[in-house]
Amino acid sequence: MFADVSSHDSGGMGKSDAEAVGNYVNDLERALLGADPALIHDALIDADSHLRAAIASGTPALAAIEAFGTPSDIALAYFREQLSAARDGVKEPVAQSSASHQSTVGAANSQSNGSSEFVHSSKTNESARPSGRLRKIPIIGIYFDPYAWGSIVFLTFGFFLALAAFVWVVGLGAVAIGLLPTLIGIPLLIALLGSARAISLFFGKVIEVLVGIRMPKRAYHVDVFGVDGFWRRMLLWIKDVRGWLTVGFLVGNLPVAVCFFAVTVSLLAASVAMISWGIGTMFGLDSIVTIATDAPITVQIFGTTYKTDDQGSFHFSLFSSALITLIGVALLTATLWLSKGVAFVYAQVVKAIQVVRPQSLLQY
Amino acid sequence: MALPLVDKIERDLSNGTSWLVVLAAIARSSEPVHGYEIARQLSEESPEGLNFKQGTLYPMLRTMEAEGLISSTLVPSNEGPARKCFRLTADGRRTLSSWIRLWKDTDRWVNRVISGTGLTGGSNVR
Repeated sequence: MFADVSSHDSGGMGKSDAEAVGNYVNDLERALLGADPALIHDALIDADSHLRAAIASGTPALAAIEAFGTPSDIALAYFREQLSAARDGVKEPVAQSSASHQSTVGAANSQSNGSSEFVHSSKTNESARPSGRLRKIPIIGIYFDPYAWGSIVFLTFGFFLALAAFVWVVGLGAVAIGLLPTLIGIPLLIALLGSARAISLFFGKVIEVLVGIRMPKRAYHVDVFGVDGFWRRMLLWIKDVRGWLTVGFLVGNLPVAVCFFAVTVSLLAASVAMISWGIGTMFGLDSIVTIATDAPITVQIFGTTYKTDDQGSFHFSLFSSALITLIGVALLTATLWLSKGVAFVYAQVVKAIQVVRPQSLLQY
Repeated sequence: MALPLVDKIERDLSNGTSWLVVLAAIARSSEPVHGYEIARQLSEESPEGLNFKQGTLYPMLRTMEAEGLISSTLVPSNEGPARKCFRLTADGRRTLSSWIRLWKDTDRWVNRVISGTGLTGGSNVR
């Protein structure tokens, strides 16, 4: 999809058919203006794939486009999907879900204002849920946000995913480049580009589940079908800018994931340690900190002076322990907010890489 | 009756029934079926005057999959990239079964009421 087909037939299509499909896809993109970039990405691939399949099966391009629906009608259908995705997490019976679609579709008379209508409806629906109301509590509402906890899981365990992707891409890339002089390297390079897109799509699915950000559900394909010659097809793959961008993302993602892992685990460990300190004191455990030194140490915390005993241990009062617990809770709250914010920004970057469509590739 | 209202009724009715026919189209296929094939079948079978827009099928399929009514697998294709083929899940089958019963009840009720109007529902409606 979106490959430069000006110099060859695409998927059995003539140049005029390809232009008609291209124009329709561009019109649909304009009709979807303001929608989530991932939704636009999926909608354009859906339209492109469907129309190409219809034309390949012998349907004239204009008839295929007419049967597909006008861009404004199709855009409206995708806005409805956006509404449904916004309600995700509420498991309603399908019949009710459909009824809700009916009630909202009437309000959205044109695709241009359909988006805002649907966004408003989804927010209203969310606030009606008990968890939605709890999430609106200032600051501590974050504890009731499953995507905040999901963000922590993603920033922690995403490191292992990033590591596996890095090893795969660098390993296969090194073998492919090493074997390039023997020509076996070229198919391996194509395997690298293809697998990188699949891994990136999987990344997107993980982000969508844990962070709650809508990610592309379809990967673009390099339009090599109908192109004669093995080496010409290989060349189209290698010339595909987004494939290399994805490889670059998977390589550059590892140091970013390491930073996320280190910061998240450190903040979590510190906050959990502080919270458990106070809880332990409440259950009668002596609140001590032991330092491996023979020399006595004196520290001042919250205006109270503490000195190590013969075993090198500090003994803290119940008040100090409670205060430290409160700091731990504050740190955990801040960690949740920070994780959600960082995961949101990270998801937007991954989404931007997945949906990127250089203008030159849009020319049919 | 103002014509724009007829258009709205047609659109609302279509929205309410399209999930049912799409689920039914998937259910009657013994093999997993891809989006283009479902769209082609529904277009062919749609009565004259009812304009099924094939492009509305894809977001619908995606929502159905998110709801757990259908599942998908990628099947290689000779005509292009691998195609996503759909089959009904157990939940989807149960939902479709309930929906068919609801549809039949609604159909009987509506027909009973409108049969008393004396209108034929022909071209004079528009």
